[in-house]
Amino acid sequence: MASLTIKNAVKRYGHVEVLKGVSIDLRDGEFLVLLGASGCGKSTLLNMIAGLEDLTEGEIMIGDRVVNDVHPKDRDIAMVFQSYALYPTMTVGQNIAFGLEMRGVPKAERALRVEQVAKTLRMDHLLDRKPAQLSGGQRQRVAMGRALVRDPEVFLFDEPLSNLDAKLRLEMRTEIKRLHKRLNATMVYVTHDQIEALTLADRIAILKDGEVQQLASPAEIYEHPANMFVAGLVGSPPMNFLDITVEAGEAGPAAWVTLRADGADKPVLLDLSAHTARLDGYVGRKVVMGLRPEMISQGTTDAGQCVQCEIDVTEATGADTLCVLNWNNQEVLARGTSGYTKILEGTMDFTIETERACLFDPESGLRLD
Amino acid sequence: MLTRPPVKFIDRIARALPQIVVAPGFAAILYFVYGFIIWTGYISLTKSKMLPNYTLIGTRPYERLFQMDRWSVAIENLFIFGFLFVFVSVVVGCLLAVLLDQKIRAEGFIRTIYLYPMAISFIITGTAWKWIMNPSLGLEKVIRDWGWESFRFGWTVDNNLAIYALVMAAVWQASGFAMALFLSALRSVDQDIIKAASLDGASPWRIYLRIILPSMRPVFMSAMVILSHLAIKSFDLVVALTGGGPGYASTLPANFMYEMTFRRNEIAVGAASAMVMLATVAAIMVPYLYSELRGKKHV
Repeated sequence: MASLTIKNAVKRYGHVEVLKGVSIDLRDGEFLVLLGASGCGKSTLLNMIAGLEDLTEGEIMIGDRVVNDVHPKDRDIAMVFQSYALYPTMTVGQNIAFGLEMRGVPKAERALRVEQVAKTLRMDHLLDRKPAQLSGGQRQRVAMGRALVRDPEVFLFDEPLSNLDAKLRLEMRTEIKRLHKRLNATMVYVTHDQIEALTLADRIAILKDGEVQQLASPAEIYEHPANMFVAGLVGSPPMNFLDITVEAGEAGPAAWVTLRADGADKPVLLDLSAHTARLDGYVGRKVVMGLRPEMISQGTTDAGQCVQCEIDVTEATGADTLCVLNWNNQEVLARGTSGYTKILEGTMDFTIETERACLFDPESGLRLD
Repeated sequence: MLTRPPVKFIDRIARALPQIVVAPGFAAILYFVYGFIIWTGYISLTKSKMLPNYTLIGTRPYERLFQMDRWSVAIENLFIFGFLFVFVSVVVGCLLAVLLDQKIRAEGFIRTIYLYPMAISFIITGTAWKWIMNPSLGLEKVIRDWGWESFRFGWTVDNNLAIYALVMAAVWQASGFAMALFLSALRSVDQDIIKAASLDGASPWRIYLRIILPSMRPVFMSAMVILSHLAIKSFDLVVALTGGGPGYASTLPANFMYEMTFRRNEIAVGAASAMVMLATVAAIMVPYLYSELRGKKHV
């Protein structure tokens, strides 16, 4: 186990800059998720940590050792690939033992460690099979076993769950979480799935165009996204963005929003007094208000401002029923009720928790703080 | 009761069109390949000499065949030639493929150079190598003219070495083809597997030896089958390079068959040797095809 430090990592292919100076600092035993859309540079960064690609500039340290020029095999890392990358001609047992064999571990000890790992991952009955005879989930386990048996300083995961079906993905996600808790190992996990990121990570680094947009805990990223990109990426269903103009209200800043109710558009003044300090100097200017669907809930409560809205469409997802509302001639998703049963239609009461809203500068996209 | 509308003639034709298109080719193969196999089989049991004669005499031609020294030399040569040719071509081809796989410059150019001999007819290969290996005008003369007076390279005129001269020319021709087969197989290996192996601490040659080459087993099988049936069919190379000589020291079964059938008025013996060759090819191809087709069904 070791800490991992990435200092100002830059990667260029010719004139194309894939990574533009990424700095991340990982404590010993921390679980970092690199989240971003495809092409954002997250896999490149992972390959650079593994030593499969060179850095153009910058420095990577494992523990207090600079590993820029250290061969992958001497970095003491293990990686789980999206394609699993199992050796097709070897049995599961040989696959797991291969790394130990290459490092000259004696045969008896190899067998012992393979057996332990197989037991941990509940696949001791599969050891004599070839990869082609395994299901997707079992292959995934073998790939994890191959990483585990080496007991490395750092674990790297390159979208390990994206080839699994939805149910297995959930199971393996829990398994990885459990594994991290038990091993307390330093792990870097690349994914484009924000739910995986939120559930697994101690900290998430969100990448876009080769730059870190935000590096923070999942809660921090969810509640206080650094900019509109992060706010839109994280959270499902995604955050609603509304263009508003800040006005000076009686109790503090406020903004007019046009709501559709009873078949007619009706302006409502939203109270933004909770954001007084934040909106200092923004009166009369345009800002973007970000409201997550669960901040607009059906019914009247004391949690926020109560308004009446007409429901355009309802979408029952099982756990929640989502309502599509019409604000400022724009679709807005709201969380109607929890549970499936209630049918929502017509004009109903909704409570908006305006004090939890995020406000962004429309030009820079940054959150107002 | 409903009567079916009459099927139009044109519709019937349209429905049968695939069969109609394939039929001539099918009939030709049936007649010219399988028909003549049966005919040859029949002739090999008759007392045909210069012209076909349909009087059956049982397995006498086969008995005569196996009593002939020329035939036993041809069979022995086939084993030496076949084994060395397949083995050396596969090893050289594999080595070239691994070397070409190292992301070298001008790979396409070099690949073409190695593959080119395959595009040349065996007659040309044979003639070229005949000149190269001719003691009085080829390599031996050049090196002697340079001053190494005792240099000897007279393989084509040596009873014991002539067959190895054939192996050398055939390997030169076919190893580029083996290389192309192996190279495409090397390229189709999942790059992640190689990355995983190097993270596991395997050196590049160990990655090849333990992971990549074993996973190419089907390609090795294909290469061996293709090369061994090339070996069994080798005829023109022998004609052009050594003419089967000196004497009949470098005869292969195909040359034997030609010699008997068309030059020595022993059609029955020639047909018998052809049947033995067919049996040899079948012994190699049938298990291969069987395993291939069975493998397809499982997928």
